Amino acid sequence: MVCPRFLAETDKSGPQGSSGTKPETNAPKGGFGPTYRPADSEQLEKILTSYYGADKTGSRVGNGGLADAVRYEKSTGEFLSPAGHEQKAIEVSKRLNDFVRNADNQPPGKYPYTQRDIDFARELIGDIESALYK
Amino acid sequence: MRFINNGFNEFLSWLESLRFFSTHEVEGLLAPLGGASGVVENSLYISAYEILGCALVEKFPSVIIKEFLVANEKQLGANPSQLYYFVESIVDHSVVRGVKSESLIEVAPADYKPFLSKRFASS
Repeated sequence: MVCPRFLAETDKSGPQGSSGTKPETNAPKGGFGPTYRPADSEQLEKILTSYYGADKTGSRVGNGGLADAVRYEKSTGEFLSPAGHEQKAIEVSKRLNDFVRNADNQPPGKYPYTQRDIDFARELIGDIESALYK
Repeated sequence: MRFINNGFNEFLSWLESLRFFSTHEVEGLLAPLGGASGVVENSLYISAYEILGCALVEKFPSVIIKEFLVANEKQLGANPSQLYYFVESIVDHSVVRGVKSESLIEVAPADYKPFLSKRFASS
């Protein structure tokens, strides 16, 4: 069976990337989540490892993020793990919400809670909610 | 304090009995999730298993990791909805360290192999 994957939009270096990022026929519907970008804080980076995997830019569905795995499973009915990725998405959403809540209790811009990290965490929370509930 | 929940605490005890981690080390690893009790309280089992899988790879050489997978296929396959992510994390972090994914997937629990093969198809 053909692996339902394509390169992330940011990876244009390889032969596949240079030929474009055309998704295969059973790619997730409804667009793709944000591509990985490094976090300023170790706390968020650990959550991103769960969201994108240790290699961060590995070849998976969509842009390689957890929400894209959920979208793929919902649109195709094919699980990418024994029980699918919904429960993992719920857990990671909790961790991201905790990160944002902790950041809200800090003075603006205080390390380790940079605005850039907070914005990215919020973007990923929205991405997960979009994948789970829309 | 630890609660009995979904086999998670039994898994921690088992891991500690194999002398891979001490109780103190496990608590430190799970501190970002509120420790073992925080994992149970907030149902963060998958995240915890991923952290422990990563820690195993960081602490031990790949040959030990492979022996661990070979020797414990039955235990690691017992709770696939959660323990899959422990094994996936082991493979994921091993690949980042230059280990060929195939060498680990071939000794992973049989039910996990199709998912792992797809996940690490190009690694």
